[in-house]
Order: sequence, then structure tokens, then C-alpha cells
Amino acid sequence: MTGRLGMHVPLRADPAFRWLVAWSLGAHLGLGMVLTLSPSGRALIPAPHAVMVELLTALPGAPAHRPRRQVVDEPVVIPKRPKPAKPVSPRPEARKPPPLTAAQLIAKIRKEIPAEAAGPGTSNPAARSGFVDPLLAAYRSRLQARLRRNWSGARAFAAQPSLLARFEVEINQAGKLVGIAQREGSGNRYFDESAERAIWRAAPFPAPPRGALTLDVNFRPGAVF
Amino acid sequence: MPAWLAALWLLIAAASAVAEDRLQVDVDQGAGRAYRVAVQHFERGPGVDPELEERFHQALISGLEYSGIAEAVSPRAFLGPLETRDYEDASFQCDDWRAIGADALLQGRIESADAGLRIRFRLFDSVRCLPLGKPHRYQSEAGPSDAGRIGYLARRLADEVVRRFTGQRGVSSTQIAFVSDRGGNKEVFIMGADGSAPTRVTGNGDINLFPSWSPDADSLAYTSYKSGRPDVWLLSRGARRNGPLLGSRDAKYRGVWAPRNGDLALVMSREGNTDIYLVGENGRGLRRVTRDRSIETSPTWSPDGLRLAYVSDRSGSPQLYVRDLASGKSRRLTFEGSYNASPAWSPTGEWIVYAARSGSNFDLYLIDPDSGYTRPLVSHPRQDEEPAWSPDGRKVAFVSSRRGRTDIYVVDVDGRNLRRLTADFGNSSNPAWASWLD
Repeated sequence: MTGRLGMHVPLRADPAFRWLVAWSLGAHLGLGMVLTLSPSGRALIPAPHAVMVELLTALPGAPAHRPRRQVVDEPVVIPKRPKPAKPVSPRPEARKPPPLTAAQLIAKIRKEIPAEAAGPGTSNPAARSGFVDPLLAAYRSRLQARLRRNWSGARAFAAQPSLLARFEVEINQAGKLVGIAQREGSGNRYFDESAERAIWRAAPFPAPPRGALTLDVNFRPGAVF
Repeated sequence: MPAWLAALWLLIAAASAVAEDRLQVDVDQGAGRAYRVAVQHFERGPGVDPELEERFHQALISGLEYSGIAEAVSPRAFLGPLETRDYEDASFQCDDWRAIGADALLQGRIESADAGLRIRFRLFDSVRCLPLGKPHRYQSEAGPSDAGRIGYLARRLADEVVRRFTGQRGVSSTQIAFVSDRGGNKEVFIMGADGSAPTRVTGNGDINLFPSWSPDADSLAYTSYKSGRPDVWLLSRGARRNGPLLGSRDAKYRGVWAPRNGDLALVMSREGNTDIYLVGENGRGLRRVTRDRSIETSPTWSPDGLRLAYVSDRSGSPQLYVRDLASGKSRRLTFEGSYNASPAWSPTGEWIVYAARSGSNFDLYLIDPDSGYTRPLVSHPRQDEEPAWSPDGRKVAFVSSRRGRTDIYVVDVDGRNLRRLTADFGNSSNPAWASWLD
């Protein structure tokens, strides 16, 4: 048989060729099964270094009060917090619970891991060790320095080291400030204002290494004494 | 594909999506920079001399910088106008001020009013682009010297700027009483908190010591040897009252006003024993607080008026003690060092500052009256002693002999912003910081 381009194509009806193709397919399928299902096969899954860290940092506690937000230039959409999965009432006749969906698994992990203890910069060494994306870690350091440099008046509150103000800050892929929302007040509105000013003054930020970013920024006066 | 494997892949995919768009940033300490205020020259109303406005402007900038919390932006950096052209026009180009690093813009107008001066002002937050508090005004009383009053108005305004940033008013407009021998005798003087305009308020030609302000900053208690023995005298502004508090012949000194109820704590030597007593400001209701054979002296009140800290040598060396007035129980506060003296309880209640001897010199320390935690405040090879708190609890005035003679200095509670207040003649001592006048 001659194809359009004049190449000679082996006859499909050749039993040796058919046997060879079948053997090759079987071998590939078998190898694929072994690699996928064997414990060592999991090593082929890309190591989720940054994935683990950022998953933990993305689990802040519920805001103490309704966030106050400001729109900068364009409408800001801060993703709503996922509603807690509705409890699935087990069927009386079912002996095993149904397998969890991905969303339920995420919700379960969020419930089990305290956000404060798991975030980077925390004192929990287990949470910090080995899971820091170097690019994001370097970027975070740059942001810290930039925010410190632009934080006026922090000295005025140095005698109250327990103050803590939390902000959610959205920046786009170019580093432009897109939105600020105060997630938790310190109880001292002047301190909160000084922290908010630091964010405004520090903007625009360096371009994030992996595209648009939502920052959970925590301001503390720092202990002078 | 098994369900658990699919769920795992979905979980990892979801986690990756979260990981890439959220980041936690902890900012635990600012760079220590002060709030930066662009201060325009104020618009002048009819009859207001340019020199007067210039004096006001300089006093305002000086008051801001004295606070250690705010500072003025150099006018050479201004992109906007140097002066307030029309105070009634409240339009505001915040970008011009934000671009030069200003946190706020201060503009206003000075005008004559009712034979005095009136200051109108507004403060803009140039970072968030909104007014910082409401427009406000201060007015001086009629008086022969606008030049003298304009300085107070400027410092009053500087203190208000600090308040609008921090919620706590600044102290540049307050006063410090102190003792100086610049006229030959030890007399009580009053000066501005920045050392301006020292004025003698006693003149009896004898030894006068240990001034202490009443809570409303209207009266002074001081120790005078005018009658031949130490006695606690009271002096009111306007000289409505100037005389001994008690009539007894016992030696009395170091009267200290309670923060609330009008009582004074004082030290009295009776029958050879020196103890702390309380008495009403009308000289009635004398009662004894300590009953030890040792010497008790240097009382200072807690801000709630329920406790007294004082010095006693009952352990063999002068140490600090705290006494609960309701229960009458005392406890020793200091255990380090062989000589601890001159305690002063902060208006916020968090610290007691005191002088501790190290070697042959005294340095200043802060101690938490509840936990006993101690940290150094001022250390120098020469003497640093007799500390007194500012009414906001952010500064400490003290006496130092680091230049040979003794002078009054002031330092922030974090040990920064040290400055000398008294001028180059005479010895100055015994600072006492007044509260705000209005």
C-alpha cells in the first residue's frame, strides 16, 4: 500500500506488527499503573512547597468586625470567604461516610489548622520549615521593609506593644494598590490610621513575582521596652 | 480513577490557586520616623504684623519637633504654596503634599479678635486625602503683649496636631516648675516645657525647694525655709494664696498633691521620727501614713490615688516601697543597688522612674510597679537624678550635672530625644511638670 506521499506503510494485517503494538501498549499501561499507584510514584507529583505555606497563611481567623473597605481606582472584588460546608447527615444504612469532595477536604484542613500558628513569620517552626517559596519570601521581605519605611508615628504607640491592626490589601500584577480593607482593628483608631497610612504611602508596590496578590498585613508597634 | 485520587488532585490544584495569590506580611516596628507635617505660613488678617506671623510659625514648628512625634517638612520641598492664601477656600491638592512625603498639611489664619489674637486652622491628611479632624480655633485673651501670647497659641496648636495623630495631646504648651539659684538664692521658677520664658515665682530671699503642681496646674506646693525651718507652702497663680500649709512647728517638706481628692502627701519629722503624712489642701485632716522608726520620704502618688510609692531605709539602705492606702500594707519594690531614690509614678501608671546609685553616680531607671521589671532610662558618667513625668507620660524631665553645673533635661520615655532645657547660668534642680492649663 502506498500513501499519498508515496511512503510505504507496513500492512496493518501483519500479525507480527499487531503483536508488537499490543505488547507495547500493554507495557506502557502497566508501567503507568505501577508509577501512579506505587508509594514511590507520588514523588512524581510536583512538590507543593509554596502550596503548603500559602494554604496555611490563607486561613486567617474570622474578622472581629465587619471589614471597612475602600475602593481605590477600580471596583475591587475580594473573594468571599468560603461558607462552611453543610454537614452531611449520614444515611442510617451507610456504614462508610461518602468520600469528601475537594472543597470539603479544604474546609476540614482549615478547621484543623489554626491560622495564627501556621502562618509564615509565626513562631511555630513546623509550620515554617521547608515550605517557603523563595520568590515569595524575598518579595515579602521587600514589602516588610517598604511598609516599615513608610510607617510614620509608630514610636507614638511603642508603649502599647499589644496593639495589632490587620489589613487585607489587594495589589495587581503590576504592584498597583487595588483595594484596602481593615479586617481587624486594634481598639486604638489612631494606631489603625497610622497603619493604614503606611499602606497608602508604600504604594505602588514592587510587582509581585507570581501575578496579582492579596496581602494579609499585620501591624504591631514592636516592643521598645 | 479512584475518587480519593481525584480529590487529592483537586485539593492540590485548589491549594495552588490559594498559595499563589495570598501572602501574609508582618510589620512589627516602624522605622521610628515622626509624622511629617507640611506647615504653611498662616494667612494674616488685617493688622497682623508679618513678624508676628513669623514668630508664630517658628514656635509652631519648634512645638511639633519638641513632641518627638511630629516634625515639619522643609518648605524647600514644597510643591504647593508656602502660605495659606485664602483660608476660606478649603480645596486641597493632596498629591502635591503626598509627593513630598508629608503625612499632613497644616494651614490657617491669624487674625485680631476682641483685643487678642485668634488662630483658625485645619489639618489635612495628605496620604488618605481627607480632613484630619475638624477646623478649629484658639483665641488668646487681651493682653499687652501679643508676642508673648502668640508663642503659647503656637505650642497649643502643635499639641493639638499631636493629638489628632495619636489621640494624646502633646505637651509643648505645658510648664515645668524648678528651683534655680541664678539670682543668688534658691527660688522657684516656671518655664515652658521647652525651656522657654523662665519666670521666677517666689522671691522670699530664703531657700525654696521641691515644687509640686496641683492636678489642675493652678497651684504649687513647695518647701520653704522662710520661717527658719522647712515648711510646706502653697502658691496659687495670680498670687491669690502664698503661705504655709500647716501651722505646726514640726519640720515639713516635699508636699505632693494627690491626683484627685485635693489631699497632699508630705514628709514630717515629729518626735525625732520622719514619716509620711496626708493632709487636705486647706491644712486640715492631718493623718499619719507610715509608722516606722526608719526614715520615710519622697512620696509619689499612683495615678488613681490609691497607692503611694516612697523611699525608706528600713532595710538598711534607701529603697523604694509601695503602700496601699486602703489596707495600709507596704511592699518593697527595689532590691538591686544600695541607694534608690526620687521615685515618680507615671501618669499612665505603667512605670515608676527613679534614681539609682551605680558607683559614685546616679542614673535613671524605670520599674514596673506591679512586676518589678526594671530597665535603664538615662545613663551617664555624671549625676542624673530627680526625675519628673510629663502629663502625657511620654517624657521625663530630670536633673543632670553632665555639664558641671546642674541643669534640667528632658528625654522621651524610650530614651531618645534628649535635650537640655535650662540656660547657661546658675544651678537648676527639682523639676515638676504641670498638667495642661486648658
